Amino acid sequence: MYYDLNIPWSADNVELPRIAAFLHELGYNTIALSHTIEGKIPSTPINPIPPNPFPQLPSLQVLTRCTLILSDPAQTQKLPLLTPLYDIVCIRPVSEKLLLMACSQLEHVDLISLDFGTRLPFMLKHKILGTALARGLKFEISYAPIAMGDVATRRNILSNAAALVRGTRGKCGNGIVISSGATKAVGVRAPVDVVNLAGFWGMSGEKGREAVGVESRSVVVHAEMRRRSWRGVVDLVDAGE
Amino acid sequence: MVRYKSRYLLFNILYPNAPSTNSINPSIPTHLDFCAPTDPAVTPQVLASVVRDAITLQFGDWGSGMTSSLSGNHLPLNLLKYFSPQTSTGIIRVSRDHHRLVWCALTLIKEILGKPVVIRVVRVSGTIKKAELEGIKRAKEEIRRVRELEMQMVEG
Repeated sequence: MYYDLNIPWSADNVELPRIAAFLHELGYNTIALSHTIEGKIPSTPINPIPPNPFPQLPSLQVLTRCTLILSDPAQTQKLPLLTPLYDIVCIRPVSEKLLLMACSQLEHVDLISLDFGTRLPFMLKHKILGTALARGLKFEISYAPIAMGDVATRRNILSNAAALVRGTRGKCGNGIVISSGATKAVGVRAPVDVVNLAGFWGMSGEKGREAVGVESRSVVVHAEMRRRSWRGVVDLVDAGE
Repeated sequence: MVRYKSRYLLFNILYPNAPSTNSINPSIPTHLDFCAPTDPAVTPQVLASVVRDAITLQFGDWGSGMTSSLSGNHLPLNLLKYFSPQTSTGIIRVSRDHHRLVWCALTLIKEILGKPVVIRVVRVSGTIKKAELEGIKRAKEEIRRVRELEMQMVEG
């Protein structure tokens, strides 16, 4: 099972069915369309992604995801509003304070993603990242800008990805998910090629395979548990008559 | 350890921006559209130079030295051993120590002669025989898929 959890969605992107078809062709089984919210969460958020966007590809499971680019910790109080709308909630902290908060305290978040194309203002230390991993949160690396971006973006992604891999080393599994983040079909790569790419960032073959498969699956399952059940313990299965 | 070990990478060139010939759902290109034949202008020499440029771009002088070096046998390696424009399939030979490097460079190629492509490595093998057999197997699979698609188009 291969997952690609970051396909940026926008209403005027006509290439989306093509990207989905290409992903299906390359062997991905589940993808997540990502809607980006920047700065402030609206008081009544809506999920603009239509429910079944690609009915012509029945074997491709399509999830919806929200990527929040936040720098203000006060905004995080509105996070629970997003839970019933999106399958996965991902946060992209811009400041170190928010990164710390996301790793140790925030409850309504499934994935932590960082903009690796730029030089990050904070260091990815094992102490901070370890708390996130212990709670079951994963970190995401998007690889599309490596092939599509310019030299500076490429260098930054490489160094940041390597720093992330170094910072998450430990017993709790690698806790890294790799996704494409591709806005065009050319940015997507086959899962095995992605695993090989991950090897150059410091992830061994096995960890690379997990990053594209099992770890992504765990994010999806974790998100679903968070939505449907109370802390993964009590779940309403069938309401009966 | 005297014997020289190499790896043969069997790869496909896919065209994600190929125009869709899907009569049922025009916005969703079929498998065949993605696995289109390559432009005849892409000769094996052109492709080999594209790969070498990619290695130099991603891995610099060190990478290009390591992979296209004349080894102890004084034979140029990193050759494109096989390339078929009709099936857009090729086999590259690399030394075993640096095959991942070439694999990575192949992955990060984004266009050939101006056309956007995605290269997918399908099989890494220690012998060329196995790589060729895999290529044949895939070609047969492609033919089967083409026939299936034709049947679908006729019925639908």
